[in-house]
Amino acid sequence: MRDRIPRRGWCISIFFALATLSGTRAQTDSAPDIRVLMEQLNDVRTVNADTVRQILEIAGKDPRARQYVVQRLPDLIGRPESDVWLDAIRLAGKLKAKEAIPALQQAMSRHPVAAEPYLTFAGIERLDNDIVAKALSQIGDPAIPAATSLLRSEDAGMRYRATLILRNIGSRSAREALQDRLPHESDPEVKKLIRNSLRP
Amino acid sequence: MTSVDNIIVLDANGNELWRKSIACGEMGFALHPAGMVYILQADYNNNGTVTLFAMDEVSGATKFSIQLPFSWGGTLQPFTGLPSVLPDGNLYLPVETAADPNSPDVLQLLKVAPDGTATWYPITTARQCHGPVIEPHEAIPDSSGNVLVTWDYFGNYTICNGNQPFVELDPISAAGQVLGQYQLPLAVGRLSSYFSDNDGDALLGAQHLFVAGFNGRGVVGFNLGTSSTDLSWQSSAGPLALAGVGAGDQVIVNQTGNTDGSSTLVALTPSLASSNQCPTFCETSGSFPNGTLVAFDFSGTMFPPTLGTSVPANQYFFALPTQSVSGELILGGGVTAPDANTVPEPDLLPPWPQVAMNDSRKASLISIKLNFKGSKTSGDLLGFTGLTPEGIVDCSESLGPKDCSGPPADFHIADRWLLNFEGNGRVYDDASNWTVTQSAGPRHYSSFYINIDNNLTALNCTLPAIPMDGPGPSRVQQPAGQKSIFYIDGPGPKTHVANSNGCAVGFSPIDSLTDWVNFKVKFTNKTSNYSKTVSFYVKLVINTGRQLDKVNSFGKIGRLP
Repeated sequence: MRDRIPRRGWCISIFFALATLSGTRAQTDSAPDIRVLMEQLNDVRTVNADTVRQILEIAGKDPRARQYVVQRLPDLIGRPESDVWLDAIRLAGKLKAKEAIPALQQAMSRHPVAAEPYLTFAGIERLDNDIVAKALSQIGDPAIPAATSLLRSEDAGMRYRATLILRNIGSRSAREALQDRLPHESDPEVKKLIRNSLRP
Repeated sequence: MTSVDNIIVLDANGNELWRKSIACGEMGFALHPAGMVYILQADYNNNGTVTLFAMDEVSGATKFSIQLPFSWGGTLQPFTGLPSVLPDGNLYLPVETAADPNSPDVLQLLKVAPDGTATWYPITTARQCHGPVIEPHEAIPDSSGNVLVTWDYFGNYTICNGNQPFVELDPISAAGQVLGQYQLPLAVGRLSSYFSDNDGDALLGAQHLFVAGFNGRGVVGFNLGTSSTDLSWQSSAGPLALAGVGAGDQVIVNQTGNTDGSSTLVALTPSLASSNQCPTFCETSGSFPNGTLVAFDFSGTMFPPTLGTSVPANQYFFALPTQSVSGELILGGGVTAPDANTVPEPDLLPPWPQVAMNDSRKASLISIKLNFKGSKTSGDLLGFTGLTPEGIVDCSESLGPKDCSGPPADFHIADRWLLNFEGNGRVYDDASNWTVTQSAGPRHYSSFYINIDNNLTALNCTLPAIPMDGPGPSRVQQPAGQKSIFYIDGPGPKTHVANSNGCAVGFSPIDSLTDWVNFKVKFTNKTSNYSKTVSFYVKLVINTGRQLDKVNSFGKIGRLP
């Protein structure tokens, strides 16, 4: 019995050791890369043309890597406008990072900055000229409370942008948020946009 | 032996001031109240050259002249209608031409201002039938500032299947917009006037245009208020001629062919929807009590000399007041225009070659025109510029390539190079019955940008196509009750890209760029599901130093590979 208990304990220890090792190996495979990539992303001089694509690829496969990225996005989104800032917002949108919603909501207080290198007038309604709002719309339903909060802003321009966010989310919940806002909206342009957005 | 035609101008005492003569040719004329005589001359000794001369009424000096285009590459003269000076002070002349034997036959309206400025307005086209088929007739004013153009199709229907002779009335706005196309139910679908025998087969009443057919066998009355024919009458005897229009729009017709050689004056009243007395039309022959004869059509043998009460003066057409209210002449009714209460719109046809390629637009439910330069079309109330909640996105209200560059991420400067364009659909029914959708891309661009180390860096990018690229409601104008649809767009690149990735927007300035994008716009009728698509592209070239190349930046119909 004496032998068996320690042996069982040894076996359990081995199991945990293997599990930890497995996790570490997984981290060894991706986390170092993601750390390197995030380090690259952190500096406009070190980031390269593939950095964002690689981060998205790895984060899409590895939840830990994704977690690593999204935890760092709010800080980057809080920085002054730069290529780094733009990349961070792009990542937040494409990773549907609800962890970044508060930072994005905060960034909505800045003037809109373009999301796309080419613009048509229809692109404005897709938020191609407003990267922060576009990221919130890409996050989808988790961003609806933030957008709904922005819909209550005293600034009609902010309400217009919030309407576009909800319009681009396009889900049933987003439409309900717009429907709820419609009777209270006083600005004619915003009201018109809400009406247009609610059309089937 | 050569005959000579003369137009002789006399002073008040009958003394000749001057004359214009043509041997082996013919002439027609119209008078301008500002002391100008327009003479339309065909010179058959000179390859059938047709020239419009504007001559001083007193001196006979030529103020200006306009040679009309030839047909068939210069081997055939154009067919013209009657020159008319209308109340707006401009001369109007319907002109037919065909570029070559295989091209569509084209009818245009030439408008000439007193200063010699000439404008051509396309009216219609038809497929030739072993030669031209359009015979222009007259340009007559209505009381709404429009021009009523009559013409006939005289293609040989026994040779060209499906082509029956017909007479058509096309009201044209002062700006050249074709307001309608109406075939007149004349038994023989021909008219008989020519520019040198100004015999006026069309007369204007208070609310009607009356037209007599070829050889005077029929008369129709086209109600300008309802845009419908409510008088159609056939002579039971010999040929007839329009004599005039009386009160109540009674048209007076001189019918020849009585056995004793006399003629009968017939007064015809078009039916009125509110009247049960004349369900089709009222006919009164014989005497015409209390009538005010306002215009005569002295058409040679059609008006028998036995009456002896008129001078058989061919080449003559005039009108006197039909009614007088406070001394004001009332002549003509209002054409039912698509946008009667709005500013007249210019013609909304596609570019002329496109009309020609389509052979005829009569069967087309929509005409689409894309404008890539100049000003927006009159009536287009859409705006390119203005501060939006998304910032400034454009910097000009005119069409064409624009340099709206500036610092990156600036809310008040668009920071784009772009090309403003306008799409314009002219529909047969109602603008609100249609939807407009645009697709864009893929976008191709090659560029040099200045990186963070101040070095020029090359890039080549292709961005994916966007199948649904608006236009959004704020960029489309299609109110119910109108026939014009407008939409605008101003596509173009941001002028800064990411330092690490020139295919993404960023903060590094582009130095030079060549950018092209294919677009398609589709107009769809919601009722019939009929749709028409036009492909076009926008190309922008930025020369080194961020200089917009306005020569090589343009929009055009077609597609780039």
